Amino acid sequence: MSIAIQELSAEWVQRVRTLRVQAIDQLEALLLRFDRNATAAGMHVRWVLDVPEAVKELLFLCKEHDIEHILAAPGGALGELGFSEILRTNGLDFQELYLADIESAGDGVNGGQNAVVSLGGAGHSAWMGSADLLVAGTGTVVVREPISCLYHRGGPHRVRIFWAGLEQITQSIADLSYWWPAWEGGENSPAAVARAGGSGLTLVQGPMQRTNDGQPEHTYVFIIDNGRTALLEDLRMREMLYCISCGRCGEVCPTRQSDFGPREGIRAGVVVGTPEAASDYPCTRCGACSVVCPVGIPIHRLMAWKQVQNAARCDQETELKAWQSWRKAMLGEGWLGMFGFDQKVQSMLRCQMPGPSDLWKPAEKSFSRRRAMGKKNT
Amino acid sequence: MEVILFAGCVVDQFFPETGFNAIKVMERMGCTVRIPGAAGCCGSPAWQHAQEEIACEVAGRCVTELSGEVPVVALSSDCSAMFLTHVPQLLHNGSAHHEARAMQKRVHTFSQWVSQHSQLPMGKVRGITTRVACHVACCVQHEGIAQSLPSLLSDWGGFTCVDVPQFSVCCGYGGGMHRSNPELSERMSADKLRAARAEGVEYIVTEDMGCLMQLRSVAVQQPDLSWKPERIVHLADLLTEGW
Repeated sequence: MSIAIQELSAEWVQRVRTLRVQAIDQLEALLLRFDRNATAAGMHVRWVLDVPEAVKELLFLCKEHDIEHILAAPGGALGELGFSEILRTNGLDFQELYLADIESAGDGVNGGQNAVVSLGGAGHSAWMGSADLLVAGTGTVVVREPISCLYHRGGPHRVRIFWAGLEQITQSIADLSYWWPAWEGGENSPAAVARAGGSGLTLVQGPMQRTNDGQPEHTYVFIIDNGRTALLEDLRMREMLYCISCGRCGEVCPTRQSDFGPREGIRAGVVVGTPEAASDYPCTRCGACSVVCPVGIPIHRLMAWKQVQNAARCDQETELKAWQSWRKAMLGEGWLGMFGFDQKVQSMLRCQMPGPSDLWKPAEKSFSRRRAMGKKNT
Repeated sequence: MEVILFAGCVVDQFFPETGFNAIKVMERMGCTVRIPGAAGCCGSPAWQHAQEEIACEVAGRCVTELSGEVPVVALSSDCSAMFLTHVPQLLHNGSAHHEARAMQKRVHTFSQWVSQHSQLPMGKVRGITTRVACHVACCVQHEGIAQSLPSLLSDWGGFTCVDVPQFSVCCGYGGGMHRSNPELSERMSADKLRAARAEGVEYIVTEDMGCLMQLRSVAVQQPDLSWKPERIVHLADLLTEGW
């Protein structure tokens, strides 16, 4: 496997990082400003704390608006909240469609001009025509621009709901011109899959232009917390809020266990609230992800910290006892060179070595002991 | 020049000959090699398995034992990476942190030390033409630690270094994955061994004991790969072959 990924200059990474750090530093102010703008433009903004609350809101809206058919774009927030399963178990008629399958993105996002995601494009299916609710995760929530920079056009949906993690707030659409190179990638790359799921492509901007054709009767934007606020207070894990969902970490991850990569492994542990998930992600801590991260997030280190936190939570008595023995062996008074300690150290080390335990033959006399004996003889 | 050779726990207990071979190389370079008495482990095994507290204690003792002005050469690159990147973060309080930071300036990988201090182009003298592939551990590749292994082998050792693209990818050892997900871990190593075989590589050279054991264990367990485990060697062993 040879990995080719566009290199990003240190200056560029620094610029993106600065923008993300600034956005997270001003998170509360930006979110409130977005809320005010969007509400003034006739949109409905809902803040949801966790998955149960999000589910309750979604089901309530379905009832409120007599929703029968739902078009749902998977990935992103939908994946995080597990909506597909919820819609299925509640007997709602829904279809999953990647937005990228049905949209033709207008140009201009890169240049910070108006851009359009057209839901009535070439891939417009008969099913989609009958849907009266669109549920989609959104990549970015833009605050600053006074006019609609991007809106969804086409499609007969009466109601649209966009879900955004609260960290996805961004000051200006112009910031996205810096994100864009990081989203470049091969057609079948995990990054491309991530993008197809809506990461970054779907934007919701506060003041919608309600005069445009094809606008829904109701547009809701749900701002999801789901553990993110706790991250703000955690100086190490706060880094995860800087993520722009480009998927590059997944593209270079040598274990390639998820389309979304190690970032999702960490987020799953932090955001979805299953602490086992981070340690379940098969991370070798090689650091390839951190090298390509366009925001400079030390992903593999965060993964290591998560593993430490999870290990502390897990009840692994036998494992912990073994490690305590190892610790004693390593810290034993002058264990190196002292007769009697080698065997203990060797048996502990063998447990950590790869392959069958009988593969590694311990030395009869350790290096340090032989060296000490040799010096004594001379 | 006096130098501390930090062999690490794995070399100490399982590969003592590698330690002696490193001493041979360093003494030939005119170094006086000192082996630290009580500093046996950098804490990496515990850290790799998410045992932060234990890793801190073991690493802390090591930093205390290795304090001073004498340069430290770590024989395994995961030990180097521990000292150069993780230990100051683990020991984030008090004097131990500052000692660890001060120590960063004195720690070298084995290949760095040899390439910086060697004068004799050994390979040209010995006329070696062996085709080797360098396995540079991820902890060196991705943590910003200078890579000296490939240039050392070709410029100083005189070996023919084969560029195997697969070799920039992890072997599957780190993070305790060989225990938590052995199947995937073995597959990653097998991919590397297969790629090296296809390129006609005769030796795989590394200076990371974890990677070395990982690759060797897969070579033993998967004989169809046609890799003799003794052909996966530590740099010190290769340099002193035939001495």
